[in-house]
Amino acid sequence: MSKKPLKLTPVQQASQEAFYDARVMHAKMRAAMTSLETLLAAPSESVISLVVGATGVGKTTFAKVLTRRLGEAYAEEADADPTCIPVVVVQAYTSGESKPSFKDLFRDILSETNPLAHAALSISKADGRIWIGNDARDSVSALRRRVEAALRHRKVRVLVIDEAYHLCHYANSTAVLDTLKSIANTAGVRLVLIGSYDLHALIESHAQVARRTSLVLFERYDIKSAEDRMEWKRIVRALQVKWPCKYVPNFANISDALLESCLGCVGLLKSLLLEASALQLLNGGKWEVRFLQLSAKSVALRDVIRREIELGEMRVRESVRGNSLWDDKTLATLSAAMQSDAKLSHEARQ
Amino acid sequence: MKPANSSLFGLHVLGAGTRDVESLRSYVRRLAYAHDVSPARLVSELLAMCPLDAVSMSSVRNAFVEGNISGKGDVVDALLTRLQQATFRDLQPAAAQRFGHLFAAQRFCRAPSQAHCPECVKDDAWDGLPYGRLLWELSPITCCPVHHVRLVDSKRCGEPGVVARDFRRRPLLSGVCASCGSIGFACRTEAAEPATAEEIWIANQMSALVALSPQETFAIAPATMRDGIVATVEAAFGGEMATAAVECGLGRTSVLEWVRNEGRLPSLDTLLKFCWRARADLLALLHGRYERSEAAGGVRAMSLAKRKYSLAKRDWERIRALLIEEAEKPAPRAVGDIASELGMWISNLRLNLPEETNRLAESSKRYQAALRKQKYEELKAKFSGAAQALASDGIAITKTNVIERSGIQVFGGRSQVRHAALRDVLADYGVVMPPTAIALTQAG
Repeated sequence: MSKKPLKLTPVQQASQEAFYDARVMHAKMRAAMTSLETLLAAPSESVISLVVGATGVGKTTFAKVLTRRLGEAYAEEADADPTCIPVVVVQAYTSGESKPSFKDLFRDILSETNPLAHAALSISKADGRIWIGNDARDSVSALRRRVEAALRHRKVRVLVIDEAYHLCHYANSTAVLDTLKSIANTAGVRLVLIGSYDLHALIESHAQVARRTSLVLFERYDIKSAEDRMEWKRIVRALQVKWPCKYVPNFANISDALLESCLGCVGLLKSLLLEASALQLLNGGKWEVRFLQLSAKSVALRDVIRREIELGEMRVRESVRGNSLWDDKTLATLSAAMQSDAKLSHEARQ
Repeated sequence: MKPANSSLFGLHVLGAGTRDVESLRSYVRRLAYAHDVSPARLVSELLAMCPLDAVSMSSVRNAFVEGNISGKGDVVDALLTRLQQATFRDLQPAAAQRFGHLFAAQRFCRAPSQAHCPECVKDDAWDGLPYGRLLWELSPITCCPVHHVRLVDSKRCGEPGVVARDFRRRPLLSGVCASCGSIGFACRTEAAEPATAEEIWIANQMSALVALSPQETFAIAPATMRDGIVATVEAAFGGEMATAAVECGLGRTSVLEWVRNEGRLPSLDTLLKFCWRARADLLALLHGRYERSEAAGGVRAMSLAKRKYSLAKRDWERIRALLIEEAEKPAPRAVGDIASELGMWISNLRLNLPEETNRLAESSKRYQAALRKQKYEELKAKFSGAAQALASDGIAITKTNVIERSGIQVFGGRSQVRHAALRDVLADYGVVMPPTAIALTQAG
């Protein structure tokens, strides 16, 4: 039995890390990004945008790309006033406490915006007086007030919360989105929540919140669509170019098989390729086709993921932005009516 | 996505370019409030981020405690530089230090005392939080140029029955009562006192000055100001420097010193006396010319009367009697106060009436010592009460706990009597504090 190294050499490690950092902008991500950027570009009452997608569809990459693009969009503003932080990105998480709350999220936002947050006192204004130290320093309400003030002072335009499905554990859905809506309104910030389909539960039960919320679906690739298959192949090729070993297996030729195995999710594809490349590197750079088998999700795990994705898609499809009361036929009728109106008003102006 | 350089919120100075421009002290307090920290903590953190080379942290903090941060000096310069670096804002309009090249440091800022216009803070409170004006920080200003009422002491609470909050819980915000926290000093209900014509004239003159931008202020050269003084002497005093000085209640050579000696700058209040007497517009004078200002009111009735040279020069017997009478009073004033009242230097009194002056000095010193002793006893009783209360509650008797329970602030420097009283009370419970600069025996 030949001895194989269990650890990558520094050179291999660097190549693998470069492959890990490789990102490919693809059609589905572009579509979701365009939809979201349109929402953020103009002032509207829709202050909260939910970006939902299947597990492994590439939401974390989406968050990183979004951060970069928003940073570029607001660069002029930030350059003109260096005290501004137009875009703040935080990650929601549960810290293992028995009762997770907004505290950790608020603390994270404050650590990004207020350098003196660690020394903050509980200062409040009530009954025409200023009170110091009357409330607990780190109560949720004190932290929330500080967050609102910090967002306002830093002129934050967009607050991105990644892994936002953790918010569902903080309180009931109405309370969570009410809190977020209130922060958005008080501080004049647009909120972008990125997470899995569970996020949809937040807007299901509250009409007032639903009015202020838009839902953007980050879709996966469909093996039945020729267009999707072609784009998938392009993605595989783009990742293949950044392969960390000298010998590059021809994944493009098996892109349909990869599409099926990865359920059309680019994130899952990336995970598969990362594992395969690591195996190849540990094998001294020699490729073996069994690495594919080892890297792909087992049938049982894939089924769990598939079932969850299909269930989630079914739940959110009705709420997605653009899926309105008007179908294509009705829309054509409305369009014709509007054109005749436009003619009339043009004639009236003439 | 953190900002590359800025570390604090970029609040703007309020009212820049107007007579209502905010003071640096008020700005620091507002900045601290925005960050939810105390002003002292903000300054500490700021200096931890951008350490100072030449100026020690304690001197900066003392300067802050004394409240002199709107004035002149190295500490103010250092703090201003750090604040500007941290906020990316031009804070020069808030600092009276921009007039440093024109006026002497003496009697420039009101600090450590604080004053405010009762009407302005009420107006501000309608629309959020009040802020402190730079104008209120300057010592010659005694009234508000907007409401024509006298400024009032900011340290006095209007709710005499209410026990003052523990000092850690007192809000340090301009226009907010530190004792009870009421916004716009709503605790004070007494009617505002109308200002005299002279006070209003001074406030108006100073309003025009503080409304200048820093660039306009720095553009005024001391040489131009000297030209303005000369032009004013020519126009209002027939070109006689000594006459001008005497007429303004100043020393005979004061005006001449301003004009001929490049190293000597007039103090703000003396230059205002000079302008008032000559009916000269201050801003025009600083720009090198004489312009008659639209002043109202009679000069004779005002406090800016001539110095009482006749009394100081001739009636030594009367002054001797005055000194003896003062020394025998139960609460004699200091020699300096008497000299000031007579319009003389202390050295002149000592030279001509050494025995009487020394007797008054001794008497005044004894009285001050007795006052300190009395204060010491009162404080000791309060600290003892606090320590006993802690003991009965089963709480450890420490310096911090006793201070917190008693609600009496104890710093080094200006509060040696408090320090001594606290030290002695703690010693009774076996807690050792470092000794103060002034021994108790001296205090007693």
